[in-house]
Amino acid sequence: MNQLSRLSEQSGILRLGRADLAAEEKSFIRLRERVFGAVVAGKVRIDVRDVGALDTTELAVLARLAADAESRHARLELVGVPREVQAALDASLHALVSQEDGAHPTESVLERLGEETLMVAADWEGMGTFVARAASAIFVDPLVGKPWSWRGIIEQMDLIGVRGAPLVIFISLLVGIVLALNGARELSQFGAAIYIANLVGVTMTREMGPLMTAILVAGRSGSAIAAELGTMTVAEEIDAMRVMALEPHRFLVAPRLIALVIMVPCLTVISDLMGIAGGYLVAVPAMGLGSQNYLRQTAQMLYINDILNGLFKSAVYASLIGLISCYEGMNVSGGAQGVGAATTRAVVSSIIAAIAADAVFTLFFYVTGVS
Amino acid sequence: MVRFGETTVLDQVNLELHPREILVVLGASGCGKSTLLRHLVGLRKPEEGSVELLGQDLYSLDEDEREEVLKRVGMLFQSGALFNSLSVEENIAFPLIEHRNIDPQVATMIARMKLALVGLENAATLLPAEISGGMKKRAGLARALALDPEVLLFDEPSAGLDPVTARGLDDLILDLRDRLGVGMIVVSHELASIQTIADRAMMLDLGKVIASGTLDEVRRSANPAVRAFFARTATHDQHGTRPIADLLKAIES
Repeated sequence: MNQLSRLSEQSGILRLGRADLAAEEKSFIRLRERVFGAVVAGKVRIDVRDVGALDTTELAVLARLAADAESRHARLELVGVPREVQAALDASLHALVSQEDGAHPTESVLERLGEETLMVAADWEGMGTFVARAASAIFVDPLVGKPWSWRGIIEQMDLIGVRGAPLVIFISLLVGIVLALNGARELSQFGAAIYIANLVGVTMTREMGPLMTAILVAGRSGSAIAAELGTMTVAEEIDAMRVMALEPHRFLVAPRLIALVIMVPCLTVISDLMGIAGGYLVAVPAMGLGSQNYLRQTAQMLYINDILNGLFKSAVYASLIGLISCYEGMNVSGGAQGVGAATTRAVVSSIIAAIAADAVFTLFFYVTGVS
Repeated sequence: MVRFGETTVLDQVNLELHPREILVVLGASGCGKSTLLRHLVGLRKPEEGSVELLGQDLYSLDEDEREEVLKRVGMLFQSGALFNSLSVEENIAFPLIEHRNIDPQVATMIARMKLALVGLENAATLLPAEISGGMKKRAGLARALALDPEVLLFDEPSAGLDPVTARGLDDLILDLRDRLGVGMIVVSHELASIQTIADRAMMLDLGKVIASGTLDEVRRSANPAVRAFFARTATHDQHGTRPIADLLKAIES
C-alpha cells in the first residue's frame, strides 16, 4: 500500500480495486480489518471507481461490510456508484440481515438451557402420548369392535422375522465361534475345555442372544420402520388416514409392535441355538471334545430361568424398538433429510434403550436373586 | 387464531360453506390457506377460536364423535396422499371396509364406481407409483368420495399439473358439485382454476381475510393486495425480498 493510499485510509476513504472485493474468507477478513481500520468520525467511504460495474458477489461483499458497519454504529458510504445504488443498499440492509438475526438470536446460556429443557420435556410428553395411544390400539381397540389388522401383523412378521432370520443365524453362529475360541485357550490350561459348553450356553441365553438379536433387529427392521413411516408422513399419507378417521396407531403402529413382540423372541431362540452351534463347531471338530459330551454339558447347564429371562428381555427390547422407530417415523419433518435423520435416531435410540433396559434387568435379577 | 411460534398465521378467519357450493380460499403462497384447511379437518387445533364442522364443534367432541364427523368429510391432499403399498382400488376400498364393514369384493365394486366418476376405471389395479401426478390426484379424489361425504376439501388441486390436466380436474370438480350436490372448499392460488370453479371466494393475506363474496365482488375489492393478486403483480414485501430486488436492479442499470 503506498503512502497516498495510507493517508487516504487515515482520513476515512478507502480506494478499492476488483481484487480487493474478493469473497474468499481470508481476503474478506483482511478487507474488513482495512475498512474498519479506516473509520473516522463514525464513517468510512469506499471508493469503487476502479472496480467498474459491480457484480452480485462484489455487491454482497459491500453489503456485508455495510451491515457490519451498522452493527458497530458506523456508516459505510460508497463513492463511484450512482446515488440510487447507495439508497438501495441502505434500504435493503435490514432485509439482508434480518433473517440472519432472526435465525440466530443472541441468547444467554440460561435461556438456551431453558429452551432445551422445554424441548426435551415436550419430546417426552409426545412420546408418552404416543405410547398411550399405541397401548390403546393394542389392548383397548379389540374390546370395542376394532380388531387387530391380522393381515398387517402377518406381513410384518414376515418382514421382521422370516426375512431377518438369515442375518441372525449368520451373526449368532459367528458370535458362538468367537465366544468358544476366546474361552478355549484359558479353559484348556486347566483341563476344563468341556466348560466351553457352559460359557457359550450361559452367555448366549442370558445376554448375547437377546441383546444381539435386538441390535440386529434395531438396525434392520427399526430403520425400515422409521424410514417407511417417515416417508408416509412426508407424503401426507398419515394425515390422509387421520382425515378419513382411520387411526394410524391402529393400522400402522400396532401391527408392527405386535409382530416385533412375537418375532424377536423367536429370533432370540434361533440366536441362542446358533450360538451354541458355533461353540459346538469349535469344541468338537477343532478341540476334539466329544459331541455327546458337549451336548450333554450344554443341556445340563441350561436352566429354564435363564431361557425365560432371555425371552422376556427380548420381548421388552422388541417393544422399545417398535415404539421408538414408529415414533421417530411419525414425527418426521423436513423432507428427505428429515427421514434420514429420523432413521438414524431410531436405530441409535433403540440400541441405547435396549442396552439400558438390559442393565436395569440384570441389576434387578441380581438384587432379587431371580436368576 | 393460529400461531407458529411467535408468528400469527391465521387471525379471525371465519368462513361458511353452503351445500352445492364451491368456496375458493385464495391468496399468495404462505398466506395461511393450507393451514386453514388443516385446522378445518382436525389435523391441528387453533390456539383460539373453534372449528365447527357440519354443525359440531370439532374439538369439544370425544374421539368417537369426531370420527363420525370426519367420515362425512372428504379431502384431497396436494400430492394425492395415496397409500403406496395399496393399489388404486384398494386405496378406495380401505375406508369402506374399515368404517362400514362392507364385504371386500363389494367394496372393490364400489371403488371401481368411484374411479369411473373420476375417469380412472383403467387404473384400478395399478399402484400409486405406476400412475402420473394427475392420475394420483383423481385417485385421491375418488378415495375422498369413498364414504359419500357431505363436504369435500381440496388442497391446491391444480398444483403441479399441466394446464390441460388442470382444466380437466376443474371440470371434474364442477361436475361433482352438480351431480353429487356436495359443498366444496378449494384452496388455490391458480388464477385460471379459481376463475373456472369459484361460486364464492375468500382471500387471505398474512393470515387475515381481506376480501370475501362472489368472485367478481372479491376481484372488485379496493384492497391493493387483492388487486395485485388478480393483476399478477407483486406489492408489499412480505419477506424482505423486494428491497433486495431493487438493489440488484439498481446495480444492473
